[in-house]
Amino acid sequence: MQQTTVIEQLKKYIAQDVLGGKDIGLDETTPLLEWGIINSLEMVRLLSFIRKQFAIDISTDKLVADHFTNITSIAELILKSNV
Amino acid sequence: MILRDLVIQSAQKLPDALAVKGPDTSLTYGELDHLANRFAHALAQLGVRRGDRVGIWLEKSACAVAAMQGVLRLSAIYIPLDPLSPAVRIRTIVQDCDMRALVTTQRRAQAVLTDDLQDVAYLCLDDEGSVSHWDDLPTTGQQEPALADDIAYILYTSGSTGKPKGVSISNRNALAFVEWASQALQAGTTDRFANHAPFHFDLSVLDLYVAFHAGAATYLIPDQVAYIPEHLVTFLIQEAITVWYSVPSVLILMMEQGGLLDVPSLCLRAILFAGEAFPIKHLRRLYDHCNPGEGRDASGPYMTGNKLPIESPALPVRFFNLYGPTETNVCTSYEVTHLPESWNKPVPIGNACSGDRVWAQKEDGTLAQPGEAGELMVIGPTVMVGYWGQPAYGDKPYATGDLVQLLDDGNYVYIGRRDQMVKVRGHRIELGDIEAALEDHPAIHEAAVIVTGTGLAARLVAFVVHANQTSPSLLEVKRHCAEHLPRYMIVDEVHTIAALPRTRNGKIDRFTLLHHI
Repeated sequence: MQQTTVIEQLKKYIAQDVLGGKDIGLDETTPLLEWGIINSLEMVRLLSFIRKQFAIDISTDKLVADHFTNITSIAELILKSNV
Repeated sequence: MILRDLVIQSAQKLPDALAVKGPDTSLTYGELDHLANRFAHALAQLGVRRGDRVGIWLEKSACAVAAMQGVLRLSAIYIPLDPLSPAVRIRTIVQDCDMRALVTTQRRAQAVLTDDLQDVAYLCLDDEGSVSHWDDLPTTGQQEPALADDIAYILYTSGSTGKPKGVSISNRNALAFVEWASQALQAGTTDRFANHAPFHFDLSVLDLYVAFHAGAATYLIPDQVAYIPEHLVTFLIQEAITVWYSVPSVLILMMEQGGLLDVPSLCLRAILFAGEAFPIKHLRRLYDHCNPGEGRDASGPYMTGNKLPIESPALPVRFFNLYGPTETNVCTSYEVTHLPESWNKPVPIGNACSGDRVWAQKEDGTLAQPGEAGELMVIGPTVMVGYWGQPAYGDKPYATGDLVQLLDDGNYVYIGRRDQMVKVRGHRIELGDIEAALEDHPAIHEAAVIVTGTGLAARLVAFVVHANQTSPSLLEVKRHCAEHLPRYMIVDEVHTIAALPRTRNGKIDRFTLLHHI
């Protein structure tokens, strides 16, 4: 998997399914937790999206805020978990 | 006795018993006592004296608990601050209560520090949760005299005009609730409390102080665990939690997404909830899972007439619905027993507790009779001293703003609010607070916020009238909110509207707004 592909897919999911498709300007550095884009409910949905889309289960010890800061950090987490 | 004595007495009786397990470290009562004394000495060196306000702006940690106890030992007042709040809001609170000192980290201190806040002393902790001269500080007694009516802590809540309000709670206020809850729960040294609520949220008072009163342990749930329902369930099992207290939304998530109902046996003996109504459907599922065999027979819980129990269950899990705004602490409670199938009302908030007296007052000022509704009024030992910076509340009954119905059996049921305060996933929010922050944005002329959906599906929806030709994007509005408001108050949706609909007397017509979505 290419990092750019993962980033594009995450961006598409968050723009459409989380922000309702009305948004322009979401990029890979947009703070997801800090701006309240990913809250606890959205976190559950995001993990299930990752599971389906990339066939990856994020291990429990990786579920810390640092890995979910923005789209780049989530993509890195996915690529690392894919090894 | 005052609030700080709960830790001091347990440290004398059970110095080696676990007091707090946090994401940072675990502390026995003896260690907590020593660390609290160190904090007290460190703060005294910074000039903190009796009655001074000391903010604690830290991630949830055992260290933060010790800091609170350190403040109490100086007979000063602690103010737990939301670790997710932006610096702007913290500065507002620092100024509102004329804060003497702030216990925080270097990074956070830099974010708050401005020229006009020069009088505040900072006690900065490093990554290990200690200060540089820790080892020079004595671990022995540092106690200033204090009175039961002295303020012990201040909890800041959302204010309708955009300025947070400081609810001042005295030792007497807090102890009245803690003593009642300890008795009701029959808390003992073997209990293990889970602390889910953040420390700036009044639910945490039970998790910490009822545990300290009993010499029991309290297990702090770190943020990263709190985010994921499956982790919460794992936490519950691994730490063998016996007493759980949270908003119902969290318990529902644990059932729906975390597999709570797949766990055959838990160590739990009490589940408490507050902050919003627990939908009966979910409550019944949880209750029946925890208390199997109970209520299957229409005539009562375990015994039917003089026959033997249907099954001999392990000790039943007790369920309590607690109610009370921050201003009154918990003032009513309802112990849930088997809910009959025919029950078609919300779970009752019950009747007065903590030594308080409550009643429902009708619009004309008279007392509501069974079947009638009115505003819930509270008087008694748990009612706050007052809002910081405003005259003391005195012995007046506190009008909660909550409308309740009196049932035939003397219990009350919550039916709604009189004003614009809402609850979103258990968080108390004044819509005016969000609206004021939105109107602070240069591109927004006017704003109105409503809540759509209930329970887990609740969303904060903003309607904005833009100030010039361009309307700010959703992301831009979220960014702006994140700079001014706690995270749970960031809006979920933004709609641009030409003008806000108003009622004939000029108020924003929130009902009409609903149709604009």
